[in-house]
Amino acid sequence: MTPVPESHYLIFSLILFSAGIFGALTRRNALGVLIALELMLNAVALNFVIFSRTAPEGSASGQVSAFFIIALAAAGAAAGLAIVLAVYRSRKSIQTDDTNLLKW
Amino acid sequence: MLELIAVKGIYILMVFAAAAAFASSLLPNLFHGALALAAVLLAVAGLYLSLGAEFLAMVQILVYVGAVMTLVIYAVMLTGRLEETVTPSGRIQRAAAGVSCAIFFVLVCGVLLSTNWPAAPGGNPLPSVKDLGIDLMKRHVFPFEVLGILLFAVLIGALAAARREKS
Amino acid sequence: MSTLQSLAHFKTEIILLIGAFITLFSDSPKGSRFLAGTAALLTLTLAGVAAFTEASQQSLQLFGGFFTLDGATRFFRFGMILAAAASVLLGMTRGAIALSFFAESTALMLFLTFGLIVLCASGHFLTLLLAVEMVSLLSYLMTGFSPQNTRAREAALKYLLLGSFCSAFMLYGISLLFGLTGSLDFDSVRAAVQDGGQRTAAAASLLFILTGAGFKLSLFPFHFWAPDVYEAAPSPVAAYLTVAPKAAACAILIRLFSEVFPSMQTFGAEVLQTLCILTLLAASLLALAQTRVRRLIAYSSMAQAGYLLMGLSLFSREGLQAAFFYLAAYGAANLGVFAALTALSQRGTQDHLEDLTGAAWRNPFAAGCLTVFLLSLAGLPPLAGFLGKFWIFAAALKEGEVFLVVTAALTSMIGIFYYFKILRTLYFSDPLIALCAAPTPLPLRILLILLASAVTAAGLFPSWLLRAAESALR
Repeated sequence: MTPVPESHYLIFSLILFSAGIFGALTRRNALGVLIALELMLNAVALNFVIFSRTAPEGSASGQVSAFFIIALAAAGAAAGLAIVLAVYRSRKSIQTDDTNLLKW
Repeated sequence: MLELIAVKGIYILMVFAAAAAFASSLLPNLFHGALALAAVLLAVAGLYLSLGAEFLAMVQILVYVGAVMTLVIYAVMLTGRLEETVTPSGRIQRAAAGVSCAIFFVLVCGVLLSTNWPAAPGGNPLPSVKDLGIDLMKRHVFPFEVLGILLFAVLIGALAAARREKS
Repeated sequence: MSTLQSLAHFKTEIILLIGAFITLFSDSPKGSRFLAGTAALLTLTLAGVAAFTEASQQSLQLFGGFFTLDGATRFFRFGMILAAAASVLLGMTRGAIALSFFAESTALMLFLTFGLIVLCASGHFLTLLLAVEMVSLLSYLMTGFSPQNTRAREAALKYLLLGSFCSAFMLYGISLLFGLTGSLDFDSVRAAVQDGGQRTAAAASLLFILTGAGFKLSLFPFHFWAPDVYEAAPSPVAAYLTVAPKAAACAILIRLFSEVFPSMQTFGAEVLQTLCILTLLAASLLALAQTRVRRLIAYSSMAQAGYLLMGLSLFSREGLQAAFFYLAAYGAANLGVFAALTALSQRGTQDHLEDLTGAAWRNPFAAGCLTVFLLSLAGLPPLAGFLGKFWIFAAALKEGEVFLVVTAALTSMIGIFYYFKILRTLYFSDPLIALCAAPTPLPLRILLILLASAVTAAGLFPSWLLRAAESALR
């Protein structure tokens, strides 16, 4: 067992996740939102690692799942930055309020 | 004694990472925000070590801090206009976002604490890197291959989407 | 089943992948769409044949339970292949998508089809999350495949930011499920959720996962991306995105509730029906306010997703069968709408509703097909949409969901109103416009004939489609 109880780790990862939500909701720059999304995904990967210590028979599959999440986050970052660059090319701005994000 | 120092170290790491996480969401300068994210990622790599996941700690540093962060910082520099300006309507939005985040945090925290997470007695054995590799290539070979296809397809798509058009 | 044995049952998907690589590299230097388009169509034909002639019909667990090959997978796989073929045909029309993006977008459409099939078939949360991410990331990127169209890129950015935000919640929910059960396999998760006392945590993770599915179905609070994406994305991409990911989301919802959370069906039904009512009302009212055709179609397809969800949320055999039937009818009609709009649109227009004024006299063939598709979407007899809607309502009444049926009937009424708004513009006579006739290119003509006859045939002779829908439930 780890010296620190599992629940403390879980709450820490929830703090990371919530900080990510806050950033994603408030950032006006698309890159800022992407940074916040990375935080959220990191919290998910951390959750898998935490549970890999305790969940019955989950030790290897927990770490493997975290590995998949990290790879997905990298793919997501690549796709996100490509789109951000494409928008920047045609608008010279990546402020989300310039791109009328909430129009219906 | 050694255990006590380890426990203190882990908590210090957590507090540091949480502060950096909020900094990366709050700092008005995006470049500073990106650097704060790098700090969070490094601290989380440290937590992976404390949980006995050395391989993941290494992957985290190589893939995240090494590759993804470089990419993010590169894009931040490329697109310029680093400072965020907070408008009055933005302040209301921030407050609303803060309140909803707090509600979300309390709700999920309640769920996390009230749940009796099943635990193997004495904790799980730590898998070695060799175990992980075998697991990845044997039991998880199908998702691994799908991941390969995903990365390839996304790479092609990203190249095409970011391509400069000859007009 | 072990990996090597599984490969024998994985022919369709392997053909799709090989074909995707070939299509990617058959970008012809002379700037014609023929080579890449033919490669993709050939691939899809081969994959369709492989799927259709498959020897065994029993349910198989491939790759150690990661891929479930059962009736539902077979039904959705075949549907995805057909929808992809229709979108490729649509893309081969001049003006539907920029030439410089054609080979990439066609190849990515094949990759996307692969991802969607894996999503429909997932028997493990790792497959589920990988497939969801593959489908999402490719959809974001393909939305932006439009040079000199700032709106398309902005739509892609909006889609990406909102989509990644929702899928992060889904991933968090999956991580909680892993903590509850120590496994991500559907069977072991079900066992743990069923006998464990951890209802709160299981319900929380279910809600997180529904966020992801709701986003893909563009249900009410998660719909903000849909009108922008469907309006600005290149036509073949938009057509495919309105149909295939929604079908996959339906498939995975059914799978989740039948294979992972059967113990939480009552809770799930309440959540889904609330979402369904909100979506139906919001979509119908917002559709009334639209002045751009493709935005209107976006809201209409959001409402259609509401009817589908209504059938699914009953969790009864009749409800599911009706929903599958309706899904097929909706898919054909919606692909047809995008194809007909491509045929009717003129260069330089912004897809405003008034740009279609009198279009029926300019191109009576395409306008006639568009009429068939819109009437089917509106749910008028004798077309397929009518039967599907009728059966969904009947199934809901049988389960005693009167409020749901009344809301849905009301929104169908509003639906008839806004579909007729398009039709009225279409047939509004204007002698000046009537002079310049515009012919429909051959691939588009074939596509329109096929889709219109499918919609009509399924309405007049529904038994073959019903039998297919029934086989999906086995």
